[in-house]
Amino acid sequence: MKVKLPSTRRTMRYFVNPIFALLSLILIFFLTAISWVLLNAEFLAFTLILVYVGAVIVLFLFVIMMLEQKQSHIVQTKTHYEPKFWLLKILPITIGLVAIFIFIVEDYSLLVPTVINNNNLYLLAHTLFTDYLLQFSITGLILLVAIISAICLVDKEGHL
Amino acid sequence: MNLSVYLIFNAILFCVAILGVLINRKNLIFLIMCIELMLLAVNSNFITYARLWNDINGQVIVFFILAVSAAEMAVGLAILIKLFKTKASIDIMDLSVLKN
Repeated sequence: MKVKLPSTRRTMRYFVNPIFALLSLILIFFLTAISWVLLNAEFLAFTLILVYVGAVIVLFLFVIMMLEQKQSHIVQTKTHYEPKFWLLKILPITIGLVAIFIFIVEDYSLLVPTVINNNNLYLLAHTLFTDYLLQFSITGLILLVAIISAICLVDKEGHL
Repeated sequence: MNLSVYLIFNAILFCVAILGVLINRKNLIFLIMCIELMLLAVNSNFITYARLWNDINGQVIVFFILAVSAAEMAVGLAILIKLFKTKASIDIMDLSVLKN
């Protein structure tokens, strides 16, 4: 006979709640954007924050809140797979230790962008509007098609 | 500059995303989140190699991936809402209901 501890069950629900998952995703996006700034990709870092945290995550949040408002048990579905709790404990500790190791080992003097007049935005825009002009236009077309298809999917029958 | 730590971080991020896909086989929201995490790891890899080789083309590709993945998320969430309206569940196994 299996006996579940109440604390275990609470931990499960904490990990399954999508709002917490979403907030962790926002944290990961911010930290990755910081690492992109260190890698001389400033424009893309701020684009990541603006597009993902500003638009996509808010869309996620809207969907989750809409689903939770109607039926709260649907969003927090239990998985068939019972996660191994030692894994859930070991994995974050390991990642944290690796992060601390990197924090100690890393040579910070080289992390500063070396060439000042090497303008990332200028370079990116120049390449984008000369070499990749056709692909850039196609990207705009893809976004237009995505908007139309999303509206057609969600819209009730008969309007479109 | 030791760029390998960035590559290790990206590999860990990608593995965590794959683990999330494998563990959550029921919930569509978590699946979409994990796909987004995978795309983020791939983008970070592109940017790390763009820095390593001093090549701006990697960053241009990341720009395109960002645009396409934003479009993908919009369509995916629209499909999720459609599934919820049709079947009142967000189970992946119920997705075949939407076939006509």
